Amino acid sequence: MTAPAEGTSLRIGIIGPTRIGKTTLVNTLLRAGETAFEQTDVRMRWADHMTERKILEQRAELEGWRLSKQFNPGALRGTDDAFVFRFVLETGFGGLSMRLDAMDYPGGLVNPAHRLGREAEWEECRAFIANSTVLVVPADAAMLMETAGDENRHHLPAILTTPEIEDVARDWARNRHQHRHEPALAIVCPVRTESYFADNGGRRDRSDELLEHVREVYRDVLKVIRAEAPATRIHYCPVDTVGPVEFLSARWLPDVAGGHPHFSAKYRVRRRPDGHPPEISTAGIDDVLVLLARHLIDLRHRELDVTARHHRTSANDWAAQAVQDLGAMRNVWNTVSGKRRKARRMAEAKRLEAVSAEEQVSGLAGQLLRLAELGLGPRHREL
Amino acid sequence: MSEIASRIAAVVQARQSRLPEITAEMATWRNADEAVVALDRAVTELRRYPATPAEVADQFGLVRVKDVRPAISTTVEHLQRVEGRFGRTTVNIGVSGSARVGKSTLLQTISGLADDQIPTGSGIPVTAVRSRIYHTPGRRRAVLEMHDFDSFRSAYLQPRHEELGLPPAPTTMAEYREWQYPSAGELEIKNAYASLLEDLRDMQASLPSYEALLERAGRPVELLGDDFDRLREYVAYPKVEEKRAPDVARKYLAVRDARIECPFPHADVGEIAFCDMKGFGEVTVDADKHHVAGLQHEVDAVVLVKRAAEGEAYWKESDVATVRVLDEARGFVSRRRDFVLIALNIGAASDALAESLRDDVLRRVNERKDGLHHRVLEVDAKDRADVSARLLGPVLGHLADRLPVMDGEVLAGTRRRAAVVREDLVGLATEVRAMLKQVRGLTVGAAEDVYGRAREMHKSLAVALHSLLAELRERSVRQDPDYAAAVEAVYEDVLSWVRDGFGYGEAEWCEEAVRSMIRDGGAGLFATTELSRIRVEISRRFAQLDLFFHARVEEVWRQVADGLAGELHGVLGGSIAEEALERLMKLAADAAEPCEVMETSLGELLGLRLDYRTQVHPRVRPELDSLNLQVRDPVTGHESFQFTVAPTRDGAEELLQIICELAEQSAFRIRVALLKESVLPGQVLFAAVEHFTDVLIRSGAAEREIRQFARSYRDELWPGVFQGLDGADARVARVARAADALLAVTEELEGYRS
Amino acid sequence: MRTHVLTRGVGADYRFLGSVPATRWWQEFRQLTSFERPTLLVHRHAEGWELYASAVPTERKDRMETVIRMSLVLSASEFVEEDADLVLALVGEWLAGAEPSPGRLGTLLDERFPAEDTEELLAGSGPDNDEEVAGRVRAALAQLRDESPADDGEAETILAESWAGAVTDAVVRSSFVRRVRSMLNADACGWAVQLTLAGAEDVGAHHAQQDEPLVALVNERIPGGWIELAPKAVRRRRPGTVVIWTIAVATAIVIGLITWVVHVWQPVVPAGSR
Repeated sequence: MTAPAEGTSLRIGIIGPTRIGKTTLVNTLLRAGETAFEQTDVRMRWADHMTERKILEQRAELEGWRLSKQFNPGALRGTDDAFVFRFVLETGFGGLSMRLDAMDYPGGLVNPAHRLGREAEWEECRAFIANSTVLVVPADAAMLMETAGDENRHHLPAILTTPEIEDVARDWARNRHQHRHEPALAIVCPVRTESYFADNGGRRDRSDELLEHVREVYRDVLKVIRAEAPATRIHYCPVDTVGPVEFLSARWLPDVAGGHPHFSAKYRVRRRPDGHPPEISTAGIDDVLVLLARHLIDLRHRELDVTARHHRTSANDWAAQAVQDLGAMRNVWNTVSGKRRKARRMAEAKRLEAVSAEEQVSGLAGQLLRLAELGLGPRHREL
Repeated sequence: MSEIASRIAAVVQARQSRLPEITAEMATWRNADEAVVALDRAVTELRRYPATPAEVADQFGLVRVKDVRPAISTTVEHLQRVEGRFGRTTVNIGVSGSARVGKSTLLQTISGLADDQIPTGSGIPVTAVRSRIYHTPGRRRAVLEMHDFDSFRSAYLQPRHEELGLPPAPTTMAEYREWQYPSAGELEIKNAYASLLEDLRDMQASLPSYEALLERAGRPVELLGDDFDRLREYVAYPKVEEKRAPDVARKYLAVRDARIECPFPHADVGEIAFCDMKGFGEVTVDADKHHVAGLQHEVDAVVLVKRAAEGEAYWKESDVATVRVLDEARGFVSRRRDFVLIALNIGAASDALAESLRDDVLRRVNERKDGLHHRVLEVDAKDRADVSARLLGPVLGHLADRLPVMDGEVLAGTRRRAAVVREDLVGLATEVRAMLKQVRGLTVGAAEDVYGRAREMHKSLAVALHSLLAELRERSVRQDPDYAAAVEAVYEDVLSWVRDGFGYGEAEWCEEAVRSMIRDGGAGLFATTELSRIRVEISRRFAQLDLFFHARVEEVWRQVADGLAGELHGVLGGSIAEEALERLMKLAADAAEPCEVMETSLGELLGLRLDYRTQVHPRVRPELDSLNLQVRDPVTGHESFQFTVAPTRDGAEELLQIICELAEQSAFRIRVALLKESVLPGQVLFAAVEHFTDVLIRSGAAEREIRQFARSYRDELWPGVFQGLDGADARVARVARAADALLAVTEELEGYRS
Repeated sequence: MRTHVLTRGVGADYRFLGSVPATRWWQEFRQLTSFERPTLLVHRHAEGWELYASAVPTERKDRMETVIRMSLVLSASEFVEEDADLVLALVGEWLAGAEPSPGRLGTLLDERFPAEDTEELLAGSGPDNDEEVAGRVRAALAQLRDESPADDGEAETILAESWAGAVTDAVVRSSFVRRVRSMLNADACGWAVQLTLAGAEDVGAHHAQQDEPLVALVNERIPGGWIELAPKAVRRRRPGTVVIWTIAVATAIVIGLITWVVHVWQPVVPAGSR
């Protein structure tokens, strides 16, 4: 079962090429996770020291732009070795929490051409993602929106590695299908979307256009998920990267090694009328968090439900055994030898466990309800 | 009026009424002659024209047009005689016979004139001049037509010169005066001709007497009243005694014709005249033939007088000759007996003589059957009553009966002859026309050729434009790399301007910014002004695309012109592109048959505009909206400033950075928007050329106008082809017209069948 | 000494200039450190030693204007005095400043690896470059060694076999350097690592999972500067069920045997004694 008992971790699989923004997305998730769930007591935070440090390390880098007023999303030092971010999701009920891992790996591994000698590493990544309960596919909104009608657009599949993503998504979906009694969640996550929405300081709403492009470019990925795991709920959550930035211009730079050209986008920082430094405001991330939380808590809820039933059944069995009439002789012997007493004790213990589990189940159900009430923002779509 | 007179009058009237017809017919024949001349000229010109194909020239060489002309003139002559005949106001009866048969006596008897007017005499010929005597109640007059020297010469001198073998007669009076005739014995002549020489000498000798008359230049001499009695002077040979005188007057030599008007004693004869025909056998038979022509014009019938006198009372050889000559003068009159009547003057003769003559004539003239060939009348020339009863009466009666018939015969005969000639004319015209039909195949009707060529041209133009359209359609659905390159170039130009401190250099710009901001106490005014300036400049720079657009339009013009030039290079004269189209438009307007649809379609094509300012800029203009200090939040509708900077050096640098970013962003968005419109130029050009092609090639008026255009500029489009053919064709046409005209005349002539 | 250099170019992504190391052995610590920041790992094993120094900043910048980093991987299977000196120079420089940083090494490597040459090496990356790459690195290290003060060769101060210490502590640092020297001399084995993310506890947890000695410098304030990491040797295991039963049976047999022996040899004892 993918939803193991307390103590082991669930996984979020984030699949995408270099510089797509995986690291930034994780960072953004965690930042928002501290405040996203309002009064529900649900929290997402880092689970260990390393994750905390790593997040803070990146945050410092990412926020340089606020002072320099020059935003360069690709400036984040590229990942060259995999790192597993360890989160904990506090369900907000009864101290129940869940461990959550997300692997950040070198995006270059996705591209077979850059994988030489590191096949083992890549397999490790693939296995991680395949066994994830959630699949997240980040997409570069600028690359999708600013290349329409461009003669270089045909390079997008190679740059975005959509064929490889399709492969990984297939593995994931098959895995999900094997556990088809569990809910499956996939999120397509356009990032760097500040320029295409009007709800975060932008002046034009091109959200429909963006959705169209995503549908078009990731069509095969979506198709394979639907084909292999039809029960998967695929969500579309455009996420701003930092907030007050917007796309400025782009150019295609030829690759010196003769490969596909490189899409180089420039951004500018929106200023505030009062001249203060810009504030970070990542619209759209809350939807991702809410979806994750719902999914994970739902998993735990089901699992606990199974456990509770199991305990309840067990309690009933023992209770039955305690009063079982096996014939006069055996009944006396059982009473004398203490077996009945033992059975009664066991039944009681199990009943208590069942009650506890059931409490947790209903508690989590309640949390789920509250999360449901939180709702999803206007950017969200279900695909 | 007596019956005879009225019948004569009726004849004369009938004749007169037919005169206009004859005149018209003659005029038509003259037209026919002109038509023949014109045809001949046309054929000759055609044969001579250099561009006429050789076969054609040879063909026409076979046609001998002028050969028919003599026949026409003959016809006209005949008609003239008929005209003369019908034009006579009198019925003219000729009186003929050898000298001394009593002609003059008869005439005196008929006319009531005396010797003074109609000289008679015995023994020698008396009448020198042919006279015509008209029954004219109430008047006595003689009108003498004079010879001029030429006619005198041809009447008297030349025949004798020829007979004598002398050199041609002198041609002027002065010459004649000085002429030296050989004296007697000088010339070796036969006896027969001695008299001729004598005549010449005599005539010359008496020149003074008539010379003045010759010099009257045709003015007639009119003898009235008393002068009338002096008529003899002019018409008679000199008497014997007069001949002996040294200066013999021979006025008769100058008198060509004498017309005597006097009332006949037989007042009820109607309108008749008698012509005293000069004796035959006076000179030569040839001279006699001269008279025949005159006879045909002059007299309706001839009375040949024979005298029953000693040595004369038989039908002589000379009489036979005379009858023969007279018969010739009969012309188309079918019966000899209609034209010539024989009068036997037996007045003073004995019965035996009379009987002898009668018999001989019966035998020799009528083959013992009375009236077989000629009617024979007997009369006493001196007896008025006898003349009236036995001559005038029968003769006039005969004429009254027979003249209508004779007239008809003469006319019919003339017309028969004319019909033959007419047939010849028809044959000639038809032959020429047939030849033309054959020939037409060689020269090729110019009109059909233009038609055919115009159709071919139409198709070729369609093909050329179609292939151009296919190319343009192809380009209109693809992205246009030239357009993309042009857009990139302009974009880079804008970027480099932006990055160069908006044209001032970064340092200068910042310097200016600081100063302005300090002056204004804030960044707003400077920022607003700069942003406006930058918006305008960016627009202006992008409008440079007009150069590209214009180049594309010109290219299309050039391509269209090239496509049309395949067929129309003759009229384009080497001009290309826009110039060629303009020229074509003007030609279409100025064509002999204006080609309005062509003109309009060319005008529309030349008016094609791809214009950044009006067509493209409106689409991309919204991308400049962010270049404003104050902007509107789309969600809240709230207006706010995009940015604020401190009015310091740092602030100026930040302001520069902000505005550079905004400008770059706008320029980039405009570039993207323009590239999205990449198909627009191609589509506009394609649509314009497609419309042009539809109108020029496929519209309802297209075929007609192309034909008109081809006709108007035929020689430029297909130089040399038509000029030669034209000339030949024109000449062929002329020949055809001449042949047609000739045919038309013959048809007119057909209408004159009697 | 084998040398590998990992770097990127303006366009080309991170790759080794020459041949690629057989294994990416440094990934052992990938969860405990961020290789994008200066990290130093040294490992002594049976076949030799290896070193990994990451995130040396260069003066080159990539297309996104990000500073290009260089990482060094050094290894050897036998002790060479000169190599050891170079390594110690590197380690010394690494820990010379307030924070772990390549320091001067960056500049020296920049001199030996100018942009053009590096781009060329990247374009033709492969085993052919090894010699050249090694030569350049050696030269840089040699210069570093020449510039740096020599290590005074004192003995380690910290005597524990495995420990985690605060990187800011001078004693800790010098002890670390000496441990490295010992490892190079084959006098010690195991790991000497400088980590950016882990704390002492995390290092301890890691150490518990493996049996090599481990000394670690961490970005954490540790009271006393360092703590010892529990040795692995003593393991108290609960005896398994089989063992219990074996002992029980064995005891029973022994008792049975003694009883039988007593019982068999009973008559020898006289009556009336007591």
